[in-house]
Parts: sequence; C-alpha cells; structure tokens
Amino acid sequence: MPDTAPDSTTSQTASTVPARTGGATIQLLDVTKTYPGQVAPAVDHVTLEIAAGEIVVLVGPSGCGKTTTMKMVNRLIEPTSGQILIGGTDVLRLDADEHRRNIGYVIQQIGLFPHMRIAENIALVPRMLGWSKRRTAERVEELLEVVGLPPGEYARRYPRELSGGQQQRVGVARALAADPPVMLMDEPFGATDPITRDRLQNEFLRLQREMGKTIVFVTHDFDEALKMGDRIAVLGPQSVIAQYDTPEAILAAPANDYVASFIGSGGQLKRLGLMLLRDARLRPAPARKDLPTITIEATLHDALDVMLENGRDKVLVAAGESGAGEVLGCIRLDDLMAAICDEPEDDQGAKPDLSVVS
Amino acid sequence: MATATVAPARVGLSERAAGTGPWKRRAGMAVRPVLLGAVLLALYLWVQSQTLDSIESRALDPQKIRLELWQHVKLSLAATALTIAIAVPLGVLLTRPFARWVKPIGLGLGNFGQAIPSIGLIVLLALWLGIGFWTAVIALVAYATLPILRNTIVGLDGVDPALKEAARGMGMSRLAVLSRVELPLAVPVILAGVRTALVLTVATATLATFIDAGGLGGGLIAGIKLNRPSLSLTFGVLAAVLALFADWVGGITEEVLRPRGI
Repeated sequence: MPDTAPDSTTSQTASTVPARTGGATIQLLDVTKTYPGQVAPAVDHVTLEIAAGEIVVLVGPSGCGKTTTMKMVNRLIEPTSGQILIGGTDVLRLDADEHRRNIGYVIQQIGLFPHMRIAENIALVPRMLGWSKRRTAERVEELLEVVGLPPGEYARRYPRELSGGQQQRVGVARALAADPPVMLMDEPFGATDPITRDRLQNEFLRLQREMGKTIVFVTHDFDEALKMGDRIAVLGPQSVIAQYDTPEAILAAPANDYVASFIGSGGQLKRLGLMLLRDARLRPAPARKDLPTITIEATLHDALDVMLENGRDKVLVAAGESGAGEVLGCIRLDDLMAAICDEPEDDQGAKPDLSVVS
Repeated sequence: MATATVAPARVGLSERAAGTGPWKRRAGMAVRPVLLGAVLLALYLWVQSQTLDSIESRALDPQKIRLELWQHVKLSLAATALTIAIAVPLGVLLTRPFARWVKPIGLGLGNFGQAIPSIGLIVLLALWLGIGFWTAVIALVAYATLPILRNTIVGLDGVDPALKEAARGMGMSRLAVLSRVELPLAVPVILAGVRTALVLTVATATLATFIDAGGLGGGLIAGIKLNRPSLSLTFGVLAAVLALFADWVGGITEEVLRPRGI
C-alpha cells in the first residue's frame, strides 16, 4: 500500500530540478526495419508503448536488433514500415535533424568532441535550437552542477582532461542540455569500470526521479536492466518482444525459457535485490542489542547477506545512510521467505507483504 | 638537390603532444631558421672568397638572384594554393558516403600525377599548353595533388565514427558535422599533407626554368650547361634552403592551426 499521496511527489519543483518538461509517451506501432540487401528484417513488426516518465530497458543478446529499434526513435535509422509516435506526433513526418535536437542521445563511446571545451560540448544543442548565449551559458552551468562537476573547475577543460566517468557525466549533461522530453541511451555506462558504473547508475536514477524523462535504455546486461528499468522489454532475435513487464514481474514469472535463460541463476535472489527495506513492514525491534544492524536504505538482499555473514536469523533496521541512526525495527529470515513466496504476481505496486507479529 | 629534403607524408592520426611539451617543441622550431641563416652566411662568404669570371658574376648579380627567388616563391605559392583549392574539396567529396566508390579512382589519378616524372610532365604540358608561368603551375599542381588529397581522405576517414554518430544524433546537419566536427579534427593530418606538398612544389619548381617560367632552376641549369660548378652550387643551396624554410613554415602553421584539445 502506498503510504504517501501520489501528487505530493509529482507536483514538487525543487530549485535543483534540472528539467521542467517531464516526459512524453513513445509508441512504436508495427515497426519493421529491413536493411537493403537483406531478406530477413533486423526488426520485425515491433509494437511497443512506453509510458511518459518511465525508463524502459531494451535488453537482449548482441545483434538482436535492440539498438536498431532504439535508433529508429530518433531516426538515425529509418524504419522500413510502421509508425513511431512521440507524444502523439508522427515523428516520421518531422524534419529528421530538428527531430533529433529534441531527443537526448547518450552512447557508450560518449562521443564528446575532443576539440571543444566541456562547456562548448554541452552548449551545442541549445545553440542549434537558437537559445541566446546567456541562457545557454546559464543552462551549461546548471547542468554541470547537476552532474557533480563544478563549472568553475570543469567548464573550460577539454574532454581528454577528464576521466572516463567524468566524461560520461558530461555526455549525460550534453544530452539533457535542451531539456528534451525523451532520451535514448545506448549502453551508456558500458565502457566504465564496475565501481564507476554503479555510481553513474545511481546518480542517473537520482536525477531521473527529479526529471521524469521518458527514457529508452539499451543494454545487454540483465542486471543493469533490473536496476535501471521501470519496465524491461526482453528482446529475442529480430527484436521480437519476449516479455515486457516490470523487473519484479519478469523475475517472479519469466514468460518462457528464453527469458528465464536471460535471468540466469539466482532469479529469486535478484528479486530480493529489488525489494527495499524501506517498503517492507518491519517487526518491532527486540530488546536485545547484540544483533547486526542494517540501514533502511538497503534491499532485502542486503539484509539476507548480513544475516548470513553474522549467522543470525534476524537483523536490526536503522535509519540513516550507514545505519547509524535510530533503530526502526527488525526483520527476520522468515519475512524474506514470505516476501518471495507470497508476492502477488502481477501487482506492480505491491510491497513485500510481510506480516506483523507482535 | 633539394628533393632530398622531402619529408615523408605524416599520416599518423594521434600524434599526441604528450611527451614533448609545447615549449620544448617550440624551442626546437627556433633551431631551423638559425641553421638556415648560418648556411646562407657560409654560402655568401664562400662566394665572396671566389674570383668570379664574367659569366659567374653576371649570374650571381644580387638583383638577378632576388628576381629568380621571387619567381620561385611565386610559382610555389600559386601552385600550392591551387592544389589546396582542388585537393581538399575533392578529398571531402571522395569521403562522402555516396562517393565512396569513386575514391579508388580519385586516389589513382593522384598517384598517376605523382608517378610520372616531373620533368616529363612539365615538358609535355608545355607542348600542349605552351610555355610560361601558368603551365608550370599546372604541372606543379598535378605533381603535388596526391599528398593533400590522400591526407584529406585519411584525415576525414580517421575521425572516430562515434563522434559522427553523436553529432548526427544530437541533430547536426551533414554539413554541420563536416564543418564543425570532421574538418577540424582532420586539420592536423590535412596540414601535414599540405606541408609535404609545399616542399615537393618548392623542390620541383627548379624545373620550371625549362619552360621559361623562371625560378632558381635558371642559375642551377646554367651552371651545369656552362660548366660553372659555383653557379650550380649556389642556386642548388638556395633552392634547398628555400625548401627547408617552406617545411619550417609548414610546421609552424601546423602548430598554430592544430585544434586544441587533441
């Protein structure tokens, strides 16, 4: 049960919010792409609707057509047939260059222009859209702050003077520059080391919570899909959609063996990784203080890990990022079991149903 | 002969500035003009120490040398400018997707221009177009097109496809991608080609005298024909110094025009 009023989160506008437009719905209607000289289509009659403000991850093996599908949205690849609508507008009727200026685009290779300073890279799209120099400069500063690169230090540097992680932050800032309602991200964090990737993912998710863009995110890494996606489209050959659902629902009930093989082993553990302690119902904390403690920000998977590590069947849950705050309650191994077994299969809004025993 | 100074075309894309800092590089660049000045001074002193006969003193008249030097510079500059005006746009055209299939033909023509002996080319062109300045320029252009054409193609092809995709993906037109991304990034490689072409042209322009287009070749050939080695030596050294000086100017230009950040 959601315990906050839904509009308290959607209507707030903090001063640090980098975007104001939110997202737009994307619809692919019966889209097919056949490359010249090939018989089999690379993308075969795909229909997909992406709700405004959601991150939809297209996940599938190399060569399955996921990138082709994504690039048809900004028409870097023109569909052979079918319709693509963004916010109800048929994008195939628009001027392709102008259309692309209204879509953020982030690629794995980042693609910062090495001969332009960081600020110039970010300013490109706003300048193409005819923004004034002043408005553009203000926007560049704002965005550099948002992605955690102080403008005073970074705006006048060249890309090669930045680390890979910093460059990809600039890549994201550049894609956000003109505040597009839609973003396409093609394995954006794929070229960074695991620690940097994890940090970039977290930062981006935090940004997205404020921005509410509609994002098409392509990856071949199912764990990244689980983490980033509001919904995941598992794609088979020719971009045929094997399953399109929330990460929880896909883990709980893979549509077929193909999807199951993609999840791989440990699907139930991965489900625990998607469930937050914050959303779970906690038991009252016992009086004993010799139990291990975990932060409320962690997942049920983390809680299980702490239990195994300490050889206990329960763990205290405390406030604060590091779990150093006030003890809020406790969670037991049975509760984790119950969370996996009892969760209703297709109710995406449901929280782990943990019974309270007094 | 000055042709010995022709530098090989530098087609490497990522000659990073790393290793030798800009200051070290700039200091290195100051050495060349000093050396060339010393060579000229030595040449002057040597000529002064010689007793010249009437033929020699007529050919070594400062006014005459200045005229031939100026003709030589004019020939070289006109030919190089024309070569750039032809070869760079041609190189751009040949790297566009729709023209990929003609690329081997374009490069083949460039190879052809450079492969035929320059003296033969000059004489044949003179038979066809008549003698004079512009015939010499055309021959020099045919000879120097290849390095610039090839380096333009290599430079543009060497631009990271991810950058072109990022540029297209953010909504740049094809023309904007070319002018704001591809050409600036290809500048170092194109300039290396221009530098090679310039040196080639200065060296080859000594042959212009055969079709009455002037230049330092005049004194050089006269020295051979009239058996006056001092003349050949003087004009040969002058032509070599000019070629090395042109190479130096090319290096300075590369340094100045190289986009910062790469």
